Amino acid sequence: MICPNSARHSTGTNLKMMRIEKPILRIGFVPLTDCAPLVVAQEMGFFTEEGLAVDLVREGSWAGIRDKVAYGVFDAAQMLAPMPIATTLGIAGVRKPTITALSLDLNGNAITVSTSLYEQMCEALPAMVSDRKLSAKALKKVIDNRVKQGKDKLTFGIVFPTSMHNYELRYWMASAGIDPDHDVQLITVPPPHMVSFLKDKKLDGYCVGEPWNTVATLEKVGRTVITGYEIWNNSPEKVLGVNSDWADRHPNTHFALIRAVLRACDWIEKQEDCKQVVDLLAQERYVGALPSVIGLTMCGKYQFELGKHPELMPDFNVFGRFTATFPWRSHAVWFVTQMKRWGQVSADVDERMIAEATYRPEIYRAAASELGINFPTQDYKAEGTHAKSWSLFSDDRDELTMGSDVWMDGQVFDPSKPSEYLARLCQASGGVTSSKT
Amino acid sequence: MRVDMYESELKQLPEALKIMVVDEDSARGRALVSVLQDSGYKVVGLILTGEYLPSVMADSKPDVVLIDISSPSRDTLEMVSSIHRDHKRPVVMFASDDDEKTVQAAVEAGVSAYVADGLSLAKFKPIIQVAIAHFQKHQSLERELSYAKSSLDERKFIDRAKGLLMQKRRCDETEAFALLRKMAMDRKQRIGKVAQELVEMLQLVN
Repeated sequence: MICPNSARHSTGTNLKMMRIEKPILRIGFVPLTDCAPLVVAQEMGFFTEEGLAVDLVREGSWAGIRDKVAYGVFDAAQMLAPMPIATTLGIAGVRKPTITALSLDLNGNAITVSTSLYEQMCEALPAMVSDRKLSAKALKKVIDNRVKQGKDKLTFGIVFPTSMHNYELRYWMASAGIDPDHDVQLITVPPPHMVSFLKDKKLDGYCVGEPWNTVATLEKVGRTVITGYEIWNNSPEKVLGVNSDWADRHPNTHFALIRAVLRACDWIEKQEDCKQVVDLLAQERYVGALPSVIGLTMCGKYQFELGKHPELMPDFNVFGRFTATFPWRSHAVWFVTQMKRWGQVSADVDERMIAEATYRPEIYRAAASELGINFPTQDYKAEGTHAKSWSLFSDDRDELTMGSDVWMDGQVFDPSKPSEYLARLCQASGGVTSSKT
Repeated sequence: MRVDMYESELKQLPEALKIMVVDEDSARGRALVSVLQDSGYKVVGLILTGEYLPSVMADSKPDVVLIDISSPSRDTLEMVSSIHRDHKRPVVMFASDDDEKTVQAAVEAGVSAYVADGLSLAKFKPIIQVAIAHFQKHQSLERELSYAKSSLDERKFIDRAKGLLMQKRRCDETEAFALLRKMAMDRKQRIGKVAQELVEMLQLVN
């Protein structure tokens, strides 16, 4: 549930007063289970109800998503959460001011390694089997052994350089003193190719979204060593991104789009059983996977080992609750700290300025208030300070239920002090960083 | 699948740029190779699916890579361009600020290019223009139209069904839509499909 007040929302009442500048839209998505909010908005008629006719276009690459939004082939798209920042700064690609006013989900990734690497890791640190937070330390031991034996570096796959996948895989490694730029080889691999690369030994492990971790487990090719949720509870993942110019020229269309997807997220959250969402997503034109495969994580279960009961992980991928749809500027600040940490941007980039330009909570609030959906009045929040669900009180509004926000290594992030945070991270990992000062 | 090199067939031009074509649409890819060769360019390889591009490129060392913009393999080059800055022949995405119009045309046609760092725009611009023209020609208009058509049809049916419901049930638009959605949820069908069935059924009854 997004908020206790959402029942009072009135549908479509303001539509007639607001002129939709562009009623026919093309929206890009990538076939991963977290495209669910867009699929539900389409299939359950929320787009139509907001006065929009949407063509949801399946896109094969993140670079394609970025370029097609930048050059107006798509009006909007499912984007990696750091992508509006990366495109605004022009990191290794087109430079176009890009914004997001809506987050699509929290969490949803996992780190999977080949079955043989999994065995080596368990042997190196048996306690890892019962405590997944020890998995990075286990990998460190395996790497140290390989160095002694003069073996090649292990190779890990990520889906895109400026993705949460890259940052969380690097975070996990660095937490155990592994330097992801020197101790292993990182390569970019498209999600649908991950499992075959693991099978063909072109990869020893990867960090990816669903269904590609579950598929590796079910095909006995790999084992998940930790989930994104366990690395950082309720971390940002995908957003709805638009070109900044587009948003300026189509403010009412943008509102309508956000309202439709917000209602879809709320709808997903309120489903008593997840079967309908799973069936919608499984269709060939969306994710194109077996309902039994995507039905695991989409229904809050995770198959860590074949032949055993799936583990309950209700927050593996969060769409509606815990203000999952709110574009927290503190998330944007965190992304910039990671871009600095790994040498993607120079140390003099101003985190706060970038966060304010790219993450646009004021647009979210305007859209949400028309639906009667409650929202935070602040733009920034600290991370790493709540091990359990907590309540956010702001002004005279109803409280908001928030999720836990801790990291696997207990770090704390104060978005007003990004440099201090970065210095602490690098110190904790024994100086692991590519940052250029 | 990788198709043989075209090294033997090419016309040896002084300083000829080496081009690689990556396209999952094999007919379009093969045709582009022919067009480029006919124009006197040197094509060092055609990749149709699934290969790990950085390794292939390490072997054939192209100066220009022409690639289907939606190819999942495209993302494998992003890392090469963003991380391996100390590489000998780094590739950069063709996203030049100097020639916004050409980039725009390329994106719209569905083609992207990666070029060796330092290669001047003047040298590779004719190549990307050949690719743009070729992709435009092959751009599957049918698919584009069918997408728009299904979505528009659906909208038409939903509007029609809403109208009929408002008339029959004497309710307002919001209630009519809520009814439609409930039907879709109960039947676990697309709302457009339910609307179409309803319209057809009511036409039959009347």
